[in-house]
Amino acid sequence: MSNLSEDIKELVIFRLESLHSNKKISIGSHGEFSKEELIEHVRKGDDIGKKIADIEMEFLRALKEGIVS
Amino acid sequence: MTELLITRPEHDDTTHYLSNWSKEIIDIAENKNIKVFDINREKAIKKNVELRLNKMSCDLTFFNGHGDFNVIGGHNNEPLIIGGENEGLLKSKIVYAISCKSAKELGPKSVKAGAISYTGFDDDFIFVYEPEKISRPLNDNTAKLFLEPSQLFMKSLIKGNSVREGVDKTKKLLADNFLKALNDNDRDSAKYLWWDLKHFVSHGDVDAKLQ
Amino acid sequence: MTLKDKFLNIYANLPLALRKETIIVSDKEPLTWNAVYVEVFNNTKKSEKILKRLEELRII
Repeated sequence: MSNLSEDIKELVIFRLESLHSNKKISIGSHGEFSKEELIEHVRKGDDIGKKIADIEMEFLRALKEGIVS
Repeated sequence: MTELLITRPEHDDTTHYLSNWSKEIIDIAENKNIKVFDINREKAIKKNVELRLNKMSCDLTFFNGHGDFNVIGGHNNEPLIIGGENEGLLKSKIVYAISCKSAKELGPKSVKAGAISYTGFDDDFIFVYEPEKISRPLNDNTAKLFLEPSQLFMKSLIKGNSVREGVDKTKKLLADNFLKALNDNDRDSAKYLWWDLKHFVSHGDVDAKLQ
Repeated sequence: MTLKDKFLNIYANLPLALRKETIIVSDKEPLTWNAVYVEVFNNTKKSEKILKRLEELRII
């Protein structure tokens, strides 16, 4: 995972804002996170932040292949 | 008699959810006269798992817990099965592991060492849940979108279907739940359901079924 | 196929719920699929910059 550019960080943070505050996400080996915790990790650009950004970008890129089939 | 070994550590939110959601598998298996070895909570340690796998024939193994590319974890993430060390214990078994990433490396290694098949996730298994439901995880309808499919593979095998049929049923339910989440405007669940669907894989003999 | 065509093809195939998702931050402004569609449909100057960046990000 390469370093996150600032515009990708901003994009991912805006996308994460839509998560309900009453929900958490279990990300396998990394642990469980609230919306605020995920956003903080993305801001820091650490391993978890990069993982979250990777998932967001992979999903966005998959949309061009037609995600519903 | 068919035997099932199931590990159910329960040391954090994730394993607590996995453990509770997989309890039903034990009931279904016992109703089908399958002998179940339930290694749960602090008993889910390497010594106990190795002892059981060495001693019994265990046709089917179901690992819940964290993991990594080459590892299945147990209580407090103690490694239970480690690629290059003891994956040979999985010889002649149909293996299902909800242990993140383990299907990437440990899966193929296990099959090479004689496991009939190894099904699981080749990257992180992700699910969304409602923390206020932590004391009643089976009532968590958000987590249900993810955990019901994760259990369906085992239910399918126990009912006599092949690994391939179990994988197909699981993928279909994940895909259906993805569409349901989109319809309910639950875009976050949809995104992570798509992720889990993409990373649910199987190695080895996919036509295998319980005898 | 032009970038505009690529975008419009992808947009047409998107589930309605996903069209409200942010896909780019341009000049500090978050833009959803729908917001970008309006720019692209109207062939605005901004849309050229947006489409170029979407291509760089491999979103289109």
